[in-house]
Amino acid sequence: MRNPSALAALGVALIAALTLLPTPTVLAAVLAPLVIAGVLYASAQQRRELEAGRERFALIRGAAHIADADHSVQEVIERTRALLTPGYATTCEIALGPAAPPVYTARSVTAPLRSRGRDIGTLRLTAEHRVYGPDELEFAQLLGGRVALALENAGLFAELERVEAQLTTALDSLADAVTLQAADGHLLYANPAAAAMFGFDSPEALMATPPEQFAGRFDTFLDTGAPLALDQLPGRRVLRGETPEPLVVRAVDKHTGEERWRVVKATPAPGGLAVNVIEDITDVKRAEHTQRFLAQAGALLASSLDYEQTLNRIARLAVPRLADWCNVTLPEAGHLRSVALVHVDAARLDFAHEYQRRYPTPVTAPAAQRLLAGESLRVNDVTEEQLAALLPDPEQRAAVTEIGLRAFMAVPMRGAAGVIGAITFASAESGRTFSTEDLRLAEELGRRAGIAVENARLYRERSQIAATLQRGLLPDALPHIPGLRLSSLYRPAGAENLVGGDFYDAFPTEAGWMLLVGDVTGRGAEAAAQTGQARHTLRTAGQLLSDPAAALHQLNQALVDRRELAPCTVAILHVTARTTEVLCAGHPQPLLIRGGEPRPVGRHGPILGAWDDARWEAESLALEPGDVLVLYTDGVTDAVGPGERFGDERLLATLRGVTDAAGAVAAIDRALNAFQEGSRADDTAVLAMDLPVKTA
Amino acid sequence: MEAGPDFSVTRRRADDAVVVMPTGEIDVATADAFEAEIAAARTESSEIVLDLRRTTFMDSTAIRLVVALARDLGSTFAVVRGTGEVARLFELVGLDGRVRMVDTAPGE
Repeated sequence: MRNPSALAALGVALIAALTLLPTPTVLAAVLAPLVIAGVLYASAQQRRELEAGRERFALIRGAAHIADADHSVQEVIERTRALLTPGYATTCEIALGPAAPPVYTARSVTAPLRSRGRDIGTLRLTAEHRVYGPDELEFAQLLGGRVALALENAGLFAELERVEAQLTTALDSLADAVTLQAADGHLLYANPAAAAMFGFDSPEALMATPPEQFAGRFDTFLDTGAPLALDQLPGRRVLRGETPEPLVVRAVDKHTGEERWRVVKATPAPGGLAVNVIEDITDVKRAEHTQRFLAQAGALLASSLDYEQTLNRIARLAVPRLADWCNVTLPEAGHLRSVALVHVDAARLDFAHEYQRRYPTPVTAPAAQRLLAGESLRVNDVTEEQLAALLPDPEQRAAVTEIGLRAFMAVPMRGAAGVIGAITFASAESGRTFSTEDLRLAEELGRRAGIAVENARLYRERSQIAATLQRGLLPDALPHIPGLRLSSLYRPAGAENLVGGDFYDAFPTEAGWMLLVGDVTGRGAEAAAQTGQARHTLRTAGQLLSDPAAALHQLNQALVDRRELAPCTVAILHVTARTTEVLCAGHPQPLLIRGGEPRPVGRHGPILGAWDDARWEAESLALEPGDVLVLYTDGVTDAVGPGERFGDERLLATLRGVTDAAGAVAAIDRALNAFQEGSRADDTAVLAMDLPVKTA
Repeated sequence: MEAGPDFSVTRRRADDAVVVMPTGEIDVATADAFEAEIAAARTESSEIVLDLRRTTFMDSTAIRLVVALARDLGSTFAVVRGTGEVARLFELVGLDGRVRMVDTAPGE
C-alpha cells in the first residue's frame, strides 16, 4: 500500500467496482467513506493523489447518474460536458461513431466510448490549466465506459419509446380487438378494433362503459348453440387465475340482428390483469358454414330425382340455419306455387300454409316479376313502405305484419334455360338480418336447386323417352299363332336403366311366321335408336321377301353402308307348317328342347354390318309336337354370378326337362334371378315357342 | 365376379405394328379402357395386332370394336388367336376366316 501509483490504482478499481454495481449510489454511500478513510492513512505526499481520487470518484458518480436517468443522447452529451468542464477539462468533445484508440499527452486525453463491446464513439478532453498525469488515460477510459453506457441507455430508451409507439400503432391498426382488463372486469385499455367490435366510436367510450352493459348489446352463444354466460369468457377466467382455452362465440347484435363469430383468447398480464384478444372469424365461419351447407344441399339435391321431395329437404336444411322461414315456389298456372314450405316453429306451419293458400303470388306481382327476370331481392328491417310496394293487398300486408317479418330475401332458381322458380327466406322470431354473404349463399343454393330440378325434369322426360323407345324395341304383344305358343322375357340392363340393344319380334310371312331375337352391339340411347331400326328393317324385309336370309342381307347392307352404325347379331326362325329354318348372324344358336333335352341348332353365320359379301345359310329342321325352341341373347349366358358367368352349360341345365315355351322362359328368369349378382350389366331377351302336343 | 379390377390392357410397338394385349375380361365394365387403348394404337399405326391370348372373355361390346378394326384396317389387322370362350365367340360371330388369325405376336 506504500506505492502511490498502486494506491491510485486501487482507488480507480474500487470506484470502478462500485459504479459497476447495479445500485451504485447506495453502495457508494456506504463504501465511499471506507475508501476515503483508507486513503486518509496515506502519507502527506500522497495527499495530492487522494485529491485526484476524490475528483475522479465524483466524476464517475456524476457519469453514473447521467446513465441512470432517462435522457436523450443529446442530453447525455450536454450533461457529460457540464460535468467535465471546466474543472477536469477545458474542452470536452464527444464524437459519436467509431471509437478512437486511447491516446494520452500532458494536455489531452482521448478515450474510446465502448459499451458491452460495441463502439459508441470517442471522448476527447483537452486541458489548458492542468497537466494530465500518466494514470489519467486509464481513468479517462473508465469514464469513457460510463459515458458510453449513458449514451447507450439513452439510445435504448429512445428505441424503447419507438417500440412503444410502434406497438401502440400496431395495436391501434390491428384488426383483432385487444383489451386490457382489470381484476374487477373493467377495461384499462382497448384498441380501436375493440371499440368498433362492441359498437363504440372510440376506445375511450368503450372503456368508460361497464362490461355488463356493452356485453348486453349482444345475444352471445357458444359454438354448441348454448347461451354464453359472462363468467365463461376467457378474460374473466384468467382474472380468476384459470388458464382458459380460446373460446369460439357467436354474437348476434340485438339491435341490428347482425351475426358475428369471434374467437376470444385471454392471457394473464403482470399486475393481476388480463389481456384479451378477440378475433373476428365471421368470414371464416361463414365460409365454413357456407361450404358445409352447400355440401349438404348438394348431397340432398343429388340424392333423389323426386324434386319436390328434394326441395322440401333443402328448405328444411335452410331453417333455422339461414332463416326462420323458407318457401320454395315454382310458377304454375299464373302463380308461384309453393312446393316446399318450412317454418322454424312447426306450430306456425299451418299459418304459413294458410298464408300461401290465401295469398298465392301471381307471376305478375312486382316481386315475382323481378325474381323470374333473374333478380334477387333482399330487404332488412322491412318497413311499411317496402311492404306496400311489394304487397299491394292490405290484408296480406297485415298478415305479414302479424308474422313479425323482420327481413327477407328471395332468389331465383335457375336452370340452363332460365329461371324456373324461386326460393324465399324470411326472418321473424330470430330477429336476424341477411348479409350480402347470406344472399350470395342463397343465390348459390338457388342455382344448384335450379339445376337439380331441371335435371330431375329432364330425367323424367328421358325416362319417358326411354320407355317409348323401349316399346319400339319390342312388339306391343306377342301375336297369337295358330298351332304355336309363344313366350318372351325382356330384362333391361339395370343401374342407369338405359335402354339397350336387345330386341325380339314375331311376325307373319307369306309362308309362315318369323321369330327373331337380336342384339345391337352398342349401348345407350344410340343403340336403342339403332335397335328399333334393325327390328323394323328385319320385319319389313322378312314380310316382303318371306326369306330370312334375304332379310338378314337387307339389314347387313344397311349397316355396312353406314359405318357409324354398330354391328348387330340376330337369330331367326322361319316357322312353316311342320318345319323351321334356323339362321344365325353372329348370334348364339337357338336351343331346341326335344324330349326335355336341349341342344343348339342352326349354323354360325357372320355378324351383320361387318362385311358386305356376307352370306347366311339356313338349317332346316323338321318339327315334332312337344318341341320347344328358345332364342336368347348373350345377356343370359354373360350374366355375372358368384365367381363366374352363367354360361352355356348352366343354360342347358336350366332348360333340361322343360316341356313348353312358358316353362322355358320362367326357368331362365328364375335361374338368372338366383344366379345374378349386382346390377344387370346387359340387356337380356328370350323368345321361346313350342308346338303343343295335340290332345285328343 | 368383379370384372373390372381383373382387367388390364397393354400396348407395345413391334416394328411397324402396334400390339394391343388385353388381359382378363372385356365387358361393359372394361370396354371403355379397351376402346381407349385401341384408339391410341390407331393413332400410332395402321398396322395393329390384337393379342387375345390372355383375354378370358369378350362380350358384344368388345366384338363391335374388333369388327370395326377388321372392317377399317382389312389385311393390316391381325389377331393372335384366343382360346376357350374367346375363340368360340370369334367362330360365332364369323370373324374366323375374315380376320387374319396368327399364333404369335410380332417380336416374339
